[in-house]
Amino acid sequence: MTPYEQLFENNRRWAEGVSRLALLLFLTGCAAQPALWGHAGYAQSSPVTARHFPGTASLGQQAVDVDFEAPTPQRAEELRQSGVQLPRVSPGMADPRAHRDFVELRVTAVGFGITAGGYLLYCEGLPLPVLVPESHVDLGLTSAEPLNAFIYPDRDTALAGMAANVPSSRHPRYAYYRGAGGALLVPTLFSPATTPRIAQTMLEVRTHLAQTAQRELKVLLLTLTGTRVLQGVFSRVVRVSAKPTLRPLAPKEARGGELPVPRQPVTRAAAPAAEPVSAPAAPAPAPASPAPSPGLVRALTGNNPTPPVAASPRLPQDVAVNPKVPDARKVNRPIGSSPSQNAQVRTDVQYLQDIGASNIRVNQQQITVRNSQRVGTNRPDLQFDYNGRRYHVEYDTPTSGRGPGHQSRITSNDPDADIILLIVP
Amino acid sequence: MTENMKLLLDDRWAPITSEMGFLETNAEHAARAFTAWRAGLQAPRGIAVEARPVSGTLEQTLSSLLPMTSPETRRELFIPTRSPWTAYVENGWGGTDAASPMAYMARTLGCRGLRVVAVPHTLRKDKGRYGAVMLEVYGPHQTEWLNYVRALGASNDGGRWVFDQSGEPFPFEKVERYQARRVRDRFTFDMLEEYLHHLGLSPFEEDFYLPEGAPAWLVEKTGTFVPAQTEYTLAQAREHF
Repeated sequence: MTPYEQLFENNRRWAEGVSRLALLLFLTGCAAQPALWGHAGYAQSSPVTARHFPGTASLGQQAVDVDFEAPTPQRAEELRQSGVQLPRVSPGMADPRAHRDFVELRVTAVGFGITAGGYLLYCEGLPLPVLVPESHVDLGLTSAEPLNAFIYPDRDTALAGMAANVPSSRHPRYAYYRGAGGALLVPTLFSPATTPRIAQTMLEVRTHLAQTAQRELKVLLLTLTGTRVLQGVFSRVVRVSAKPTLRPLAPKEARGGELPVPRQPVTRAAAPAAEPVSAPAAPAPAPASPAPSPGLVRALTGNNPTPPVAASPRLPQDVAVNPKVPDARKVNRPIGSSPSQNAQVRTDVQYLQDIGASNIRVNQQQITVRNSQRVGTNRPDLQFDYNGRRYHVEYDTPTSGRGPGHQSRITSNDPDADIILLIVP
Repeated sequence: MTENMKLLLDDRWAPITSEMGFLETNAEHAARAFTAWRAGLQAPRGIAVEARPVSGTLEQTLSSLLPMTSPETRRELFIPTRSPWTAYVENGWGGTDAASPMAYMARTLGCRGLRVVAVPHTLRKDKGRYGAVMLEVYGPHQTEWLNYVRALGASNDGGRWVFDQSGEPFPFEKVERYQARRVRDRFTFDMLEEYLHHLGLSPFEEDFYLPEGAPAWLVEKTGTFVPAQTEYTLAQAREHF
């Protein structure tokens, strides 16, 4: 094999890997935009009907987005009575922890509040951080079992479901429900046993707070149980480190599996009082050389975690801008004062070079694909062409809250552009 | 400063030659490696990438890039020179974008790569172009910022002149000039030309290219592109110059 053939073979394998990755994302990911998709597929002990798998029936050879969710008994009964036969799948397929909306997989950073009485979760695809009240957190709980694999529609229903089950296990129990307006799957209790990565970061952020001077940051946030926007004051935000490994689902954790010895539902009141600050020190934050932004990678495989927004009237200064396009300046310029953001941009630029993206610009005025024209005086952090489309990336700190505004302006200037909002503390 | 540039072929092939890339390796080697890289990337889209030699004068060789296309480039050209360097240009409507491919190829081929930009500042209302003089040098190894060895540039960034530099200066650089009062005088076309001479290049001279018996290599993509894909003549691309 000549060096060229070897290089081609390496690149072909790499591209196939990317292609497989894309397919995997399509097959496993969906509910990042639940409002667009409605109900995802259900897993149940009966044959399947296609109408409960939106997007599967008529897409030909296109990859489709399907997450398996175990319906609650009430929902399963409703479907049964309406003649819907649901498929039987292996237990692992309906594990909520493998769902793309599971909060543990979507979180990028954790903040700790001074006045709002809880933690902030910054999640991919959500424009605002989500408030987790301290009453929903037990950082001392290291062993717990899920009640089942059902995904309850809200917290109250989940707690009611837990209360209805006779406690017979020595382990505390928890259940899953849809929180943050349906955008996330969350457990009834955040703990090392239920969301280890988040719990670890919660410990870390509190430790940082205890060791350093407080610096208050005002932020807007969503509540976990709804979409109401609150304002809070937060002092520390820590980026979540490496991805967790998914513990295999025990047979008794499988959807519909009988759980012989349930005990009390796990709520803050039932959990042992924990003293988070006295807990063992958490590992250091992620190393200095980050991987390409997951949100960027997802967007370029056709699954942009940032939902599009409608174009609004353009700003006068953008309308008036001379459409002539200046040359691209060197890309190793900083986008701001944050070392971690600048490091992330550097990594993302290399990733973009590797995959053949072109016309990469950092902190320059907005232009359209292939240098067609300049359309605004705004300066997206990173912009580039890839496979005939123009992409813009905005890196924001967890507390800036400026991402949605940037997205709106970029969209108004170029409705055909793709925008990716990333949170990098 | 930029108004007195003596550009390649009197700038008749702008915007294709307004920005050029260079790799310190021979043309066929560069073209085949580039083809292998891009073929691997484009195969999942059903787009084939192939390289073939192209002969003729420099202008005939550049003609093989036409028509120009947007939003996706379709043809790239690797042109041998009378030096260890190979030139790179492509057929994108807005002109060549050398930064990404040269930085990547320098890393993967283990050689140096360059991005050279020379655009006269001719902007008058809705006609003309923003001026720029830039030189970027990429190396085979990791540096403080990816494989960027040195970057210098004086350009009009949409109404405002800016001077950029990063990396360690080469011994031949006139670093005192970087303090000039007028930003556009801090890195001029003459300085760019002189620096490139030190690196072994005369990229604005026609006879620098295509030594006898050494063809250029055209890398071409074939397949189905995005629906918006459009072709332009060189005259159309220069309409608003």
